[in-house]
Amino acid sequence: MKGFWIFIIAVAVVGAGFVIWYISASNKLKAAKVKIDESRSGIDVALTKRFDLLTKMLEITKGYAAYEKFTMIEAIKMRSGMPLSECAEINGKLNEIAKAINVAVEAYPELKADRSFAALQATCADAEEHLSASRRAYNSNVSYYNQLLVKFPTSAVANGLGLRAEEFFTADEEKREDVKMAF
Amino acid sequence: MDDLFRLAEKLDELEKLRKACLKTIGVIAVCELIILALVVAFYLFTGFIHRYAAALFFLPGLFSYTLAFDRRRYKKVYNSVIVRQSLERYFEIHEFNSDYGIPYGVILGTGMIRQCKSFTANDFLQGTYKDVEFMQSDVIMRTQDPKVSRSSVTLFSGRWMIFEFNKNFVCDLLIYEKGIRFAKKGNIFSPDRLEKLQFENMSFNEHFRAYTDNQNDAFYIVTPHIMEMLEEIRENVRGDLIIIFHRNRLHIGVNNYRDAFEPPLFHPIDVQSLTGEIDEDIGLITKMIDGLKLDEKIYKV
Repeated sequence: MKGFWIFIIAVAVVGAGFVIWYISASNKLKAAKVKIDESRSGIDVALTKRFDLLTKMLEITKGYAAYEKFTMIEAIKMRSGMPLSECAEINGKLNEIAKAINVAVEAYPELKADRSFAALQATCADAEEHLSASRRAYNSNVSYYNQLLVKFPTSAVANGLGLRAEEFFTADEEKREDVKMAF
Repeated sequence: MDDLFRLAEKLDELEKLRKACLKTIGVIAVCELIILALVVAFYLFTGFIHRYAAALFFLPGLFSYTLAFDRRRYKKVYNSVIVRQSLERYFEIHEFNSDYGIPYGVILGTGMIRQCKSFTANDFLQGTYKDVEFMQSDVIMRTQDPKVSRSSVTLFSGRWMIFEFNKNFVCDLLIYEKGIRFAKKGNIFSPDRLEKLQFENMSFNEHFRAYTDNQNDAFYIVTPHIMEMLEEIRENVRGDLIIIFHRNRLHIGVNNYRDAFEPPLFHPIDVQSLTGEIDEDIGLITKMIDGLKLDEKIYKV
C-alpha cells in the first residue's frame, strides 16, 4: 500500500513538473511572439514617417522639376497592419522616389541650398535609420522565435499550440545603398 | 625664448615639488621604522605591548597629511604646465581641474548604476573635440564587502567619459563587457527595470551583455558600425568597458584600475616620455569620438 502511494506521489510530482514546464515554455513562446508584434508595429511607424517626409520633400521638389516618378507616391496607400510583403514593396517604391529626389537635388543646386529642404533631408535620413533599426529589431525577434520553434523541447510545445515560423522582413540592400540621402 | 625660459622655470619648480613629496615619503617611512623598532624592543624587554603604543603612529600620520597636501600642489602645477599643454593640442578646453571629477549624481542619474558606499572622482575635464562636447574624470566606486564587515571592495576604478551623442533617443541602454568584476552579483549595475537584449552580431553578443527599455530605439542607437567599433575598442583598450546610453548622452566607463594624467613621483620629469603617456590618455577620448563617428551629426535635426 505504501509503495502505491509513493508511486502516486512520484507521478503527481512529475506531472506537476511537466505542467509547470509546459506553461513556462508556452509563456516563453507567447512572449517572443508579442515581441515580434511590437517590433512589427515599429516598422509600420517608421515606414509611415518615411512616407510622410518623402511626400513633403516631393512638394518642394515639384517646384523645381516635374519628374514622372513623383506621381508614384500618390499611388501608394499606407495603412496599418499591412502584410510584410506589402511593406517591403512600399519600401522599394519609397526607395525609388528617394532616388529620384536625389537626382533632382544634384540637378538643381538651389534645391540643395533650400534650408527647409535640407532639414527635411536630415529628418528623412533619420527616418531611414529608424526603419532600418525596426527591421533589424524585428528580424532579431523573428530569429529568436523561429529558433525556439525548431529547438527541442520547446518545438514540442510550439507544435501543440499550432505555432508557425514567422517570415523575415527583407530589404534589397543594394537598392538601399543607392538611395542614401545625399547632403 | 621667453616661453622656453618660463617652461624651464616651471619644470624646476615641478622637480622641487616632486622631491619635496619624496622627502616626506622618506620621513614617513623612517618614522614608522623607528616606532616599529621601539615597539618591538619594548616588547622584547617587557614582554607586552603597551595599549597606547598605537598612538605613536600619530607622527607619521601627521606627515601623511603633509604629503597629501604636497602631492595635491605638485599635481596642480603638473597639470597646468604639462597636461594642459597636451590637452590644448587636441581639444578646446572648457574646464580642467584635478580637484574634482564628474559628479556622482550624473552617473547615478542614469539609473543603471547602483548606489555605492563611497564615490571619489578627480581630474575633471570638459571640452570639445571635432565639435563634440565631452567630459571625463577618474572615478572610483567602492562598496562594503558583503562577506567581510568593515572591509570595502572596489566596484569600479578607471576613466568615466560622457559624450554628446549624434542621435536623439529616448531609451535607456546598458551594455557591458562580459566577465566584468562584480557585475554578476548585481553589485554595480541596476538593470532590474530593463530587458535583456540580443543583437544580430553573434561576436558582439558573445563579448557584451545588453539591457534596454526600448528595443527599437536600442537598435537605432547600436548600428552594425557601432557594434564593430565597440568590438575594436574592446580589443584595443586595456580594461573592461561599461557603455550607457541615457538622455542623448553616451557614458563610457573603462574599468582599468588606472589614474589618468598622474605625475611621476619616483623618477624625474622627462617631458618627452610624459607627453607620450598623456597622449595615450588623451587617445582614449579621441578614439571614442573618431571610432564611433560621434562628430557625424547628420541625424540630429
